[in-house]
Parts: sequence; C-alpha cells; structure tokens
Amino acid sequence: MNNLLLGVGFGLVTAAILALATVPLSLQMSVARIPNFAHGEILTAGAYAAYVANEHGANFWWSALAAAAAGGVVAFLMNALLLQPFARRKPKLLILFILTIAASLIIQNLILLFFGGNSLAYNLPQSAPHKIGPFLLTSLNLLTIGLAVVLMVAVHVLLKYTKFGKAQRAVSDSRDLARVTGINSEGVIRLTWLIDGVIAGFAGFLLGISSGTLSPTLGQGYLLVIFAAAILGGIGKPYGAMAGALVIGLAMEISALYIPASYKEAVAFGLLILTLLARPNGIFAAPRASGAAGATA
Amino acid sequence: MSQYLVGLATTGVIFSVIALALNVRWGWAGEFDIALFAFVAIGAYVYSVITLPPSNLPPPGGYILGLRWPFLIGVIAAIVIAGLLSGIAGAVALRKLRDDYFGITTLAITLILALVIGQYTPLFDGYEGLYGMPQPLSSVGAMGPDGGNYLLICIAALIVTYLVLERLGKSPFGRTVRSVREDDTASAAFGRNVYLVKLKAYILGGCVAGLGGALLAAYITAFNPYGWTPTETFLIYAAIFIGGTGNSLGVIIGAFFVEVGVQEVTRYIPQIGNNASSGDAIRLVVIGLLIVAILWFRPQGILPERRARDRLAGAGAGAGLLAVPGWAARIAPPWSRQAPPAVPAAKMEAAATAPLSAEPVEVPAQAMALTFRSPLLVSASGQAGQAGNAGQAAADPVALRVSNVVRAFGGVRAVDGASFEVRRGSLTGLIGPNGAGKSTMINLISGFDAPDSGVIEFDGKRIDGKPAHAVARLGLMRSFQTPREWGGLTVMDNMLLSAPVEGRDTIWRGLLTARRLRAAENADRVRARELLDAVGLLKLKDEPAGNLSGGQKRLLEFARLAVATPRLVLLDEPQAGVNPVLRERMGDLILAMVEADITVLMVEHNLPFLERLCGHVIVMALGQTIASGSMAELRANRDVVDAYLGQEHAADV
Repeated sequence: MNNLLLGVGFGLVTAAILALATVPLSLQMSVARIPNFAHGEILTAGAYAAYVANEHGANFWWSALAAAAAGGVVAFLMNALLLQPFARRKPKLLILFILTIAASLIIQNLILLFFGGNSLAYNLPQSAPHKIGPFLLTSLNLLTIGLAVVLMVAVHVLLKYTKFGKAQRAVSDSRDLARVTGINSEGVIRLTWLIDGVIAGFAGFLLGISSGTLSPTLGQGYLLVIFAAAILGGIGKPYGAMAGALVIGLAMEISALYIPASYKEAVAFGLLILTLLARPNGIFAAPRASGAAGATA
Repeated sequence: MSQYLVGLATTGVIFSVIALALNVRWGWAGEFDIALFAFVAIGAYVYSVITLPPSNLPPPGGYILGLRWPFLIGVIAAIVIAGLLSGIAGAVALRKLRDDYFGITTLAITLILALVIGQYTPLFDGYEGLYGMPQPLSSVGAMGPDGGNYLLICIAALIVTYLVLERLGKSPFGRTVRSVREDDTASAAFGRNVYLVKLKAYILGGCVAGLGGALLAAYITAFNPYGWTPTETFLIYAAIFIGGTGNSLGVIIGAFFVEVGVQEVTRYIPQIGNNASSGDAIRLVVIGLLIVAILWFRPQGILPERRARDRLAGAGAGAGLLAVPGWAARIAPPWSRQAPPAVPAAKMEAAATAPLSAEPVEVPAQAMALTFRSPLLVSASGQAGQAGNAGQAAADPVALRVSNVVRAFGGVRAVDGASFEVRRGSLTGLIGPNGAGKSTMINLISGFDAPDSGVIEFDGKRIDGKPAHAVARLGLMRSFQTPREWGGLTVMDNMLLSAPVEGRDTIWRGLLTARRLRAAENADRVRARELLDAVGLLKLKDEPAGNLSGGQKRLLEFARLAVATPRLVLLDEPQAGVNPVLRERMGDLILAMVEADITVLMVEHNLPFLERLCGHVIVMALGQTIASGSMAELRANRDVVDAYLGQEHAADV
C-alpha cells in the first residue's frame, strides 16, 4: 500500500511533465492539425538551451526561460519556414507528417552536431526528498507539479477568456469559415505554434531535469509517450490531453512497481494501441459517428 | 573490383530490396508504415537463429533454435515469418485507423518489439545481439571473405524481387492496391474489400522486408537492436521519395543514392572537434534537407510512377478475339444488351486501335444511339422496358425495400423510421429539404453506414449492415455528391477498376497467370474504350483521372458505373456542380441506364429535372418518408408542400 502511494507520487510528477509536453501538441493539432513528429525535438531544443544558459550560470528560472524561448523559436520557425509554405499547396496530411519527420532528423542531428552525443547534465542544486503525506517528493518535484498546474490554468484562461482563444477555437472548428469571418487563420496558426513551442520547450527542461542527463534523442524517446497521452485524451483536445497525461503518467509509474521499470514505456505504448483500437477519438471524447463516405447528411 | 566497391555494391543491393518492400506498402498502398525496419529485423533474427549453431552463451544470454540449417532455408523462413508477423500487426493496425494514427501505431509496435527483444535476453541475446552468421559464397572466388561473391546472391535476390513486384504491380492486384491508395472509399464502392487489400499489401511488403533482413544479417554477420531504430525506416522513405514513389527502378536508384551515395560523400567530411558523431549528424541533416527539397521541387521523385499503358494484349490474340462470333454481344455494355448486333465490328476495331491517334474516333451515330439512347426514345420504351422485364418482376416487382430504418448520430436521428420501396426497372427520385436524411439513407443502403435498426432488402436479400464492398458485389452501386475517382491512375485504369473483377485481382493470379489475365482484360478494355467514347473521354483515356475537369469527372463516373454493370444504382445529386449543357447530357445518361434495365434511385434537388425523368418520387423530411407518388400528386400534397416544395416553389416564382 505504502509502495503504491509512492508510485502515485512519482506518477504525479511524471504526469505533470507529460501534461506540459502533451497539451501544446494537442493545442497545435486542434488548430494546425499536423501530427508533429518533431514535437520531441522541440523539447530537446528547450532542454539544451536551458543547459547552455545553466552553463553560463543561470539559475532554475533563467534556464527555464531560455528553454521556453528556444522551444518557441524552433516551433515558430518550423511552421513558418517549412510547414506553412507546404500547407499552402494543400498536400495530403501524410506529406505534412513526413515533413515533420524530416524536421525531426534535421533538428535532432544539428543538436548532435553542436553538442555531441555524450550525455550532459544540469548543474542545479539538489534537494533532499520531503515526506509529504504518503508521498516522498523533492522540492523540485513539487515545483514541477506546481508549475504544471499553473500553466494548465494559464492555457485554460487563454483558450476561454482571450480574443486569441476565441479565434483559435474558430479556426479549429472550420478554417475556411473562420477566414470568411475575418479571422487571420495563418496568423492564429503561427501564434499557436509559438505557444506550442514555448510550453514544450519548458517541458523539455523539466524532462531533462527528471531524466538526469541530456542526449540529442531526449525528446524523441519521449515522443510516443506524449502521443499516447494525447490520443488517450482525444487528439486536438487540450483538456483531454491533461487527463490523458495523468492516466499515462500514473500507469507508467505504478506499473514500474510490479514489472521491470524498463518496460514502463511499453505500458504507455500498449495503452496507446489499445486506445486507438477501442476508441480512436480518445477515451474522454463523446463517441461520435464516423463520417460516412464523405457525403453530407 | 576492389573489395571496397564490392562492399558498397552489396550494401546498395540489399537496401534496394528493403526499399522495394517499403515501396509496396507506401508507394503502392499508401500505408504510412514506420515499422518497416522491425520486419527487416525479424527477417534478420530468424535467418540468424536458423543458420547459427546452437547457442553456448552463458545465461542470461543466449538465443533460441540454433539449427545450423543452410542459407536458403534461413532466407525462406525469414520471408515467411516476417510475412506472418506483418499479417498479425497489419490485422490489428489496419483495422479502422486513420492514416496518421496507423503510422503512430506501427511506431509503437516497433518500439515495443525493440524493447522486448532488447530486454528478454534468451530470445536473441538482448542488446548484445547475434554474431557470426554464415555468409554463403564468401570464401569462394578471389574476392575475399569480406563480401566477395555474396554480392552475386544479393543481386540475384534483387532481380527476382524486382521482377516479381513489377509483374504484380502491373497485374489487376497492383491496380487494386493503388486504387486503395488513391481513394479507398471509391474502391469500396466498386466492390473492393479495402481492409483485405491493405492487409495483403502489408504482408507482401513484410515478406520482402524479411528477405532484405536475411540478406543484411548474412552480410554484416551481426545484428542487434541498435541496428533498427525508426530512423532506419525514415532513410528508406528518403530513398523512395528521391527515387520516385511507386517506381521500382527509381526506388532502387534512391536506395543506392541514400544508403551508399550520401554515406560515402559525407564520410570524407572531417570530424568536427572531438565530436565522434559529427559525420553521422551531418549525413542525417543532409538527408532531412533532401527530403524537404525533393518534396518541394519534385514530389514525384527522379523517376515518377509509370502510368499504365492501355494496349490490348498481343495483336494476334486481339484479332482472334474480335473474330469470335458472338464475342461482341458478350462484351457489349449492358446498355446495348437488348439490341442485337451490339456494335459494328468496324467500330470495335476502331476503338481498339484509334485512341493512339490524336483526334477522337469518329463514332457512327448509330453506335452512339446504341450505347446511350436519346431521352425521347426512352420515355416511350422505358415503360416497355419495365413490362418487358415482367419475368423477373413477377417474382418480386420490388428491387429495393427499406423498412423502418433508423440511424442516429448522438442525439440526432438522421434517419428515423424511414420506409419505402423502389420498383424494379424504375427511375425513382428521392427528395427532401437539407437534413432530411437523404444522403444518410444512401450511405445506409450502399453499406457505407449501418442502420441502428430496421431492414434493407435488395432483390429479396437483406443487405443492412453488410459492408460497402459486399453490397457493391451484389450489384448495388452508388455515385457520390462529389465524384470520387482514383486521381493518380489513368482514366482507363479507372474504368478497368470499375469493371467487375471476378476474383482476378489476387496476388496468385497476378503472379502465375499474367498472360491469361491480360487476355481476359482485353474484353474490359474494349468495352471501356467504347463507353469512354460514348461520353467523349476516349482521347483522355491515358491521362490521370485527377486532371479531368469537374464535368469530365462526372461523365467518367457514369462511364464507370456503366462498365460496372450494376442492377441498381444510387445517384447522390448527380447534377451537383454541373453546367446546364452537361445537365442535359446527364439526363440522357440516366435514362440510358434505365433503358439498360438498371433500376435507379436518385437524390436530386433540381425538381424540373426530376419531374422530367422520374415517374415516381419519394419525399423525406426529418428522417422519415412522408409521401411518395408522381410529382403532380406530390404538389397536391399539403405535407410535402409544407416540408419542401413550398420554399422551393416560392423561389421559382
């Protein structure tokens, strides 16, 4: 029982990081609708930017800022230089998917080129674990959970109460309709990518801290876990992504108590496959009729 | 040849085989498969444990089997097991997934497999991997142990793979697989079991990947889980994009370019600082940029997919066929079935040879009339046609019976207890305001959707809940509001795909009876040319269908329905987006269908058009059938006017 609660504690930390990594992906997919294979590289870019800042003496907060900035720049440029020009030609969805794979190859290996393949680590003050109720968590763990909650609330406010959020939902619903009502769809999409990158870059920093070491495949190794959470919550549904992250995070850490920890990612992948087979729209989405034969009723 | 060059050539040849495997899955079937290299790995492992001696590694290491069997058995086992596991993975992943989710699922399958093989050491010795696999011919000849004559075996394997795939690619099977890539909804509408077709392509690709894996394992004589990350699969994608998606020769060129060319060029870039990975990093950045560049500047690749050429098999055979008495009647379109001597032989020959000339074939007016009769003739003989059909009609005058059908989407009951009948040989209209449930009804009847309750019968057989391809095979076909053609395939291929397949598009028949299939297809080709001629598309028959204009696509759709010889056709707003001149032609074509004994149920908003064509009209509103009868009767019906005609007529005035 005690072990189980410990697992829940670690699960919450994992879920917090996962939520920060998944929500921006889901946000992007609700608007730009691109299954982004390079999402992991945005995290990696953030983690390495924080490393550079940290090397130059930056503390946690400044490093986090560097991570967010780098993530934002990478995501924004990837959209502006690569995806948007292609999207204007209205290619098949899979072509855009493949372009993000190319982007992933390019970004990941540029990082490998500049930083080498050796593992790097942050130089941040370590803190001893505190006993909080049944959980055993470090201050950094608590900070991670706290920041995740704060940022999730921020995303909620952004989507619900700002003009951008309204425009974002409109574009998400129907790009063409949004355009004829005077919403700058491309502008909304650009801004969405920027926000996507900022949050994901920051998530990369936290992932780097929790992994202990950085490598150029840090984000890619995490990508499928992120997709698992996103799909579980229903792709393109930021709130679902939060729930999905919680389920996957807890499932991974709790399963690690019973089976070898090296299989915990396989648990996430297994959940991903099961979700896709049973409820392709996500388990938190209302069951929807599959559009039949492209004909409209 | 130096050993170094032999090594490069062997690498290129093996990766060509692997690239051909992905070309079946992605190039032909359009399956976005990220698991390709997992099946290469399976082939490699299976080959290894069958040819290696029994394991004598200390626990927890070790590997299964260790049979020390010969090379060829190892290769065959690799092909079979990789195909088998592809079947299992494909059966799960292809079931009902969107293209991008399918890709993600295959990625998950790869990673799970890598994890299990890496962690569970008794299987293939975990991350340590297997070493010392036997390489046939390596000690024979002067070229030394490292590569040597093994290259010859690899070249032989590549040639066999290439020839088999070329043959299959040109066969009806290859055409069917490509149709699924272009528009799987249309494929289902013309009787293809899309799931099964995709699964077959996935398995075929898996078999070839297994072969590639066996060759690779025997070449590098070592294999471990680090050798098959998703990146390896992406490199093969790069090879396919650069060489030419769908073109086997192009794919081989691409494989050499990416796996040998780029590799060799980037080898000479000096190491940057003390970064041992800088060479690899630069190579992958270059490949990433190449993918982007080729997709931007030349998305079809260096050698684009070859368009199918329309030619009749062997002139001698063709002439023989033409000479057979009664042949013309046998292959004549259903439209002309009742009219004896279907088409003048001269016209047949013209159709067979003419399209290669630039100008359209001059069709005798008489032949035209035989194929699609004029509306004037039909309005009189349409009745006669129905009467003449009395033999069948006596059994059951109703071709299609819909009883109490319900289909709800969440809270919306799009079809809510609709019931109606369509008489055999009739041209029946289906009208109703937007949202009345007409298109849902069409989807339910054609099997693209299943009703929640109720019964749909076609020729006395229950068809509700049957999948679309099964319904189509019974002879009940449909059109779509926007024509759905297989855009990347030629107009002629579109026609051939629409003709009844009669089990011709299997792998085995494509492989073993290619010649007979071509002869059998001659009949379809001739008939297709005739029908294309009748709708004025003959000279475009070798163009990709996607290049046609909207109106031409509509005409092609009619020609495809004609060549499909259905017994009942559902037309979903055939007039949508068609100009007035073409509209007249549409009317003629629809009447020609009825004339040829095809029952037609047509959704249409153009009431004058409907009134001119249809004797009987069914009215739907709010998911229910509220009335039926002639247009005159309906105009007198208060409910109908309230629900639908009222607004429409107000607009007319």
